[in-house]
Amino acid sequence: MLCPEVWNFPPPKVIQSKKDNQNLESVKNTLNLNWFYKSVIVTCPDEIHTPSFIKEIVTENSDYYKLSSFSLTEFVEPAFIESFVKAGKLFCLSASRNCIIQNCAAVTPDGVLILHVLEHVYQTLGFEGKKRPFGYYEVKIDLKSIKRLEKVKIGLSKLELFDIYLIWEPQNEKPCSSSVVKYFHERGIKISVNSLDVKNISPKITEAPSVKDLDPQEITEWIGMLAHQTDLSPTEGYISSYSQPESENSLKTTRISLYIVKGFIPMSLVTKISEKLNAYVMSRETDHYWSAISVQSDENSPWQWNTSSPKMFQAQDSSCNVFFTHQNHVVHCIGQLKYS
Amino acid sequence: MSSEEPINKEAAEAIISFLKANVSKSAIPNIENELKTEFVLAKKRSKVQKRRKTKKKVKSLNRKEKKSLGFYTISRDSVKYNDILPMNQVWQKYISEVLDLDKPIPDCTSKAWENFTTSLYKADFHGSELSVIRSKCPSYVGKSGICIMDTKNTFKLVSRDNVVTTIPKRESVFEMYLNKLKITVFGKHLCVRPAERSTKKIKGRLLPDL
Repeated sequence: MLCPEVWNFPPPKVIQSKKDNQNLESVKNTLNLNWFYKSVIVTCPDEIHTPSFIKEIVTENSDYYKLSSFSLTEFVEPAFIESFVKAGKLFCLSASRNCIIQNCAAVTPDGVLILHVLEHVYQTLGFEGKKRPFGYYEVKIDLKSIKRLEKVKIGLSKLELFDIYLIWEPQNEKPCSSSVVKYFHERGIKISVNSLDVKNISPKITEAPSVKDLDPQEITEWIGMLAHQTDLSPTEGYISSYSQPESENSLKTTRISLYIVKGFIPMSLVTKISEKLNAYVMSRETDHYWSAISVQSDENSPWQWNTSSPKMFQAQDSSCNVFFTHQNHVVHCIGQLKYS
Repeated sequence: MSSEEPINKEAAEAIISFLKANVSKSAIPNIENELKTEFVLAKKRSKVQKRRKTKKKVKSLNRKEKKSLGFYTISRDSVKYNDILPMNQVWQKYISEVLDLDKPIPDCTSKAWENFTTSLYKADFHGSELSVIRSKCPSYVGKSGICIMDTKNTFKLVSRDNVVTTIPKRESVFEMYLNKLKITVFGKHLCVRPAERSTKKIKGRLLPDL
């Protein structure tokens, strides 16, 4: 170690995938592959403010709840299953947990309780499960068809208490999504309301590169630089070797707006935003106009890389970027496993 | 016939009368003379001694034979929990004597702790009420009952709903309650035939994991 490398580190190993010629349906399929996201960035070039109808979707659905010191046996209460699991979509995920060293749990919108537990805990529960990497087991309990409720309750009561993020989307308009709060409050469980963290930034740019003639990875990087409000044209190579992408068909505009939403974001919200964004792009008549939605995965949630890989809790960091254009949408996904 | 042996008078007379009845008439007067004839070599014992037949040892059946007779096959619903309950009561008395439960439980760092664990290890588990709290196979977890059979690798338990279950020891952790005392035993430590276990020396340190 006479002369160790202290700068210009190689980038971490990441997996990338790029899909061209996508329509709205296939984009939605890609985004709906996973249930839990931690942030969404909506990029609209040639706008100072993100269109209000997109903002409205976020503000309408901005509340999510946090259950503190919650026993998972509450999820299998028949009253809860009847009035919430069967009557809507439930998104639950254990909060602030590291799935490489701690037990995790999630409830999926189709009503399945997924437990991600260490081997020695799994052996005491008495549930059938599948082996997972790093000495873990995955147990799936279908809440809609529990056969031996008492046994399930005994097993779940052996697990520790969790902090859980929760969102409930009712099937019908009638019961309000906040009725889940009333239910838990009446059962004496501490529940608090959190709101999505929303930020709107509109940095100054010289031009917006076009998706048509550039690799989506470069545009993703460019959006990332804008979202972090970094200097796009650094003068000194020692600090940053970044250079802006150049393209022939770039949009001649100095305006761009980025709408950054952070918090516990379910896939349904992402789908709604992407539908609106698609409609917005179609309404714009500028040539080669594009806008993008970028979603970041929750690092400790069940994750599926593609349709052929298993969905399981894995420590990963992943981002999916969708570029909506007039004709063909482009999907660029990039991700890495934290431990392998 | 050797002369030392007592001669039964009735038998001798019976033989004489038999001979008189069956021998030809001319030979009858010779019978008595003939019977008095002494054989020269009759009193000498032969060198080759007759081997006495050794008594066959009364042997118990070995395991294979017992198994073929169906000695170990206990069908699933053949034993009732209530029938076994007295056995459990006897066992509780037995174990409290073996472990000296009247006295306080020794501290796990003290030397008495070793004695305590050794006597638990060597104790008989027939009649104990065991429950499986951890197992490599999840369907065994939660099973409980009174032990009616203890083999090298399994326990046979009769549960409260009168079902006999065979639990493999090596992959399970058992728990039992003695009054207010809870004892957790790793089944893999008990993987010895119960008869051998009482005499076998045990390892001091064993990894407490499945």
